Amino acid sequence: MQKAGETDVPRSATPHVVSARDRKYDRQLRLWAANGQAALEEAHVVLLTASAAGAETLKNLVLPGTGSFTVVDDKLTTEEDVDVNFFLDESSIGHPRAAKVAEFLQELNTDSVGRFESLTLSEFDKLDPSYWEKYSLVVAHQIRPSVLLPISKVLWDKKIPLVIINSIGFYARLRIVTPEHTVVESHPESTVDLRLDCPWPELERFAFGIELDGLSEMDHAHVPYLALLLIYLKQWKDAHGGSPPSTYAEKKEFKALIKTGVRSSDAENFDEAINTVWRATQATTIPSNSQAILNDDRAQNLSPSTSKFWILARAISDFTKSPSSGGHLPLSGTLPDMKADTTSYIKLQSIYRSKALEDRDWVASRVSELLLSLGRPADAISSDEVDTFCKFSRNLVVFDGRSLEEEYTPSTARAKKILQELEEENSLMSVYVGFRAVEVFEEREKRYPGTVEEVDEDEKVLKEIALEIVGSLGGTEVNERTASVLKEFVRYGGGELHNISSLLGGIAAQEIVKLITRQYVPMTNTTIFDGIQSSSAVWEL
Amino acid sequence: MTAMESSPTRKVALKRILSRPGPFVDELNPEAYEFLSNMKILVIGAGGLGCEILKNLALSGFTDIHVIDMDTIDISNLNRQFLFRPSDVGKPKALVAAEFVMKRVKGVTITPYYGKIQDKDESYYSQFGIVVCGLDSVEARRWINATLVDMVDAENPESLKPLIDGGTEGFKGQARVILPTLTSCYECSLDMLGTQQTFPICTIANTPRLPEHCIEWALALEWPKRFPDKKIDNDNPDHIQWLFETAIARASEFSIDGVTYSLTQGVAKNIIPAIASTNAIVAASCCSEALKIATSCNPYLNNYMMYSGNDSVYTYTFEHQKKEDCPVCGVVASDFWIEQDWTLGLLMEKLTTTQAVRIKSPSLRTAEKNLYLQSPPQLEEATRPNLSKLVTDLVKTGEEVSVTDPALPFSIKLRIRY
Repeated sequence: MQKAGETDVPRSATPHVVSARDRKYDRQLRLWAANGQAALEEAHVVLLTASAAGAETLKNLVLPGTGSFTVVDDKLTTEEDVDVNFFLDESSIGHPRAAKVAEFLQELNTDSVGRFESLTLSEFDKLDPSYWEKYSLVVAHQIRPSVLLPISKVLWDKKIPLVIINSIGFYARLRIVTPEHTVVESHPESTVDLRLDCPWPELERFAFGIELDGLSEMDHAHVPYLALLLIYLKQWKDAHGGSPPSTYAEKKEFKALIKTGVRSSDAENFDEAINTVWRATQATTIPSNSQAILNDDRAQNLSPSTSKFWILARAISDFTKSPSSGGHLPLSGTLPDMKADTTSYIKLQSIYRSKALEDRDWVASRVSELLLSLGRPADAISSDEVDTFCKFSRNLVVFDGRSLEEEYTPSTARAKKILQELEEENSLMSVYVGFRAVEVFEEREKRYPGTVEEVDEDEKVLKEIALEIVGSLGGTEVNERTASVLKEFVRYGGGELHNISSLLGGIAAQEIVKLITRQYVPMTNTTIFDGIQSSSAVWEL
Repeated sequence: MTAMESSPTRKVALKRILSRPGPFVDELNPEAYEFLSNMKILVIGAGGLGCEILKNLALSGFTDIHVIDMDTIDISNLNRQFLFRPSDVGKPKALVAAEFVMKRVKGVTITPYYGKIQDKDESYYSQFGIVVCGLDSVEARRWINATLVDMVDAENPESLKPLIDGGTEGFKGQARVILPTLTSCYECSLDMLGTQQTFPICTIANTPRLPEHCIEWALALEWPKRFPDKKIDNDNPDHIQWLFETAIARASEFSIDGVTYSLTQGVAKNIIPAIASTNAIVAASCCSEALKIATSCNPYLNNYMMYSGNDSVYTYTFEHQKKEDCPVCGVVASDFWIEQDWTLGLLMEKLTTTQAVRIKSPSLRTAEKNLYLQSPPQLEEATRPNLSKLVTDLVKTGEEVSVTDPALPFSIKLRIRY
């Protein structure tokens, strides 16, 4: 209701229209933007086994708008399923699980297209390998290794990521199997790259054009700290034969030098300068991670089938070797906020941006040359892609995965790591060994340990299996901690607890979103979550 | 006993765990399942976390669940609040969520309350065994935390209600268990909250540099000037549009890039990114702790777990320490150091920006006198002249000042030092 005298907010002649889709996805677009969303909407995820953990994983992918999903399962719904799976209900009992789970998931989001298929485990290895090509990612819950290993091999060859999930009682396990994963938009905390140790002419002209002594009180308090640092660095270098402050004592002295310039109590810009001395006196280098990527064979020996990532990496590598780069990566062009008047800040910002653009242009033209030399169109990589790659060139990520076969074959397993970890107090590696032992138990007995009334025999057998596994890795015993974890596994009888399955579904979905959008940094390659201790561990196995 | 309980073929996996001894628990509670299904549990919030929590509790053997939420459903909730459909937009969250879960899960009763937590008193909260919070508001958390701490009666163990609290932001989140008066409480950890992004007024008014400065200018300076009698409504598209256009004009005047509609909305509403998967992780962690506390089937979290998925998968589980000078559960007043030249007005300003205090409209009094009171109007008027006086003239060093705020059911005791 409007009170008298209130002014109405004028209605705009050209209001900004936000689509219903953008409004629905607003809270996630702020994390992965339109390009991440587009990748998600193009994806087709398949779930093998319509378990609670599997359905929860899909729930977290259908809600944000994953393009399509398929549920593969051959079981009829039981009471036990309904008790833990929110995407089944009383009316589902006796009907195919896959159909019901797909139907209930579909209700979550009409933008996502859901399907189901009834396939039994034994049918998987009879499938033509081309069957998998329609999927961009496969999620597999609790599938016995004899069935899963061959599937993982097919997917590995086709470069389709496989995400394996296991949820038993309070324990959960997640494994990502993919030969290679590259990330450009890793979303680091900061992309600030100031280059104060090696300023280029425009930046120097800006800083040295400021006559500190002649400034009014007001202007003096608004000189950007970057300029202050450059001015005092020059003063320092002039007095020290051209070398910057390097030791702790020198840096302390340098801070004192800056302090001599403070005029009034309102000297936030001087404080900012002093607080940044440590960073400002660091030499600009190429981080070893990025350097390794630039030197990688995949960048240095391009072939017509090389992916965009490696062509871009090669162009950056060439850039760092070119005289115009001075041996540096392209400038990110990001300027942090700082106490400054608007004009100097905008001027400084444009100096950083222009330099970043200049570097970007060099890289873009090199990318075109490389593409042409590979027989591909010169514009096969867009200028936006070049832009993003340059901006994040300090934070590129490449993971070379390990296959499931490598993990499961004793000669290629990370035996030393596993045995070492098992010695740690409360080690979650015991839980990993537990999962492996339960898999073998199920494979042999065709039931989970603990599903019988009398559990003593199951405990004994499971411990023997664990000893076989540890033994195959060169170990000699199942320690006390692992024995306790094995007992706990038997207590569960292979059953899922909804909370732990839901938690696992959350972790798995976060990882899948990262894999599909190629943003943020995925886990590599195994996570164990222990719901008893409420803690997790990550290893490359 | 409900029909479900009597059926030996239902909840087999859960009953198996509850009926078997485990290597990580000392003693088995033979009545655990019964206890679980008879316990009244309260869920505060039916949003992103709340939807998950209701589902999880219903599938964990809790059968008498209550839920409070004061919000109605918005379209931007649908990317994660999975109990709601487009046709539910505008309806109360608590009602729709309760109805959905009851329809899906047999044998569970969910009693919704569409309103504020402050509408209810101790007699209401004392009926529950556990309280699980999935809130996005610091203020509401402080209120329920202080209320539950206040309810503890050392003579009566039943009066101690475990509070399980979850929160998320983007790929990150946390879950914690609070045993009021025994462990660190929500107030004890207030200084762990990230600093709120605030911009100095002089930057906004005189030296804008970022697009956010231009939006903040439209919001904090231009709006009140242009519409002095109207409060901004973040859900009114005309209002956001006006802010957007005003900020754009300001930005182009100063050659500042980057004012977008989405950023304008983000700054005006203080939007925190939220996704389904993070809610799932945090809510499940909270409910797993609720199950462990209710049944003693395994040790529960002592007392804090942080989760981060930005870079790999990372959890940090630790015991957050109780603060001796916590204004809610502590026993001593905390020291607050001031400069000699501070006026009472400046002290008030500092209090609103201090991490561990975070109070919006403080009223201050010593044991002897009122220093400044926000209301009633006649007392406000009477104490207003104190604002320009030096604190050193009003309070002796070491003297205790109690700070209250209408939003908080407790007062913060500060020992002023200079």
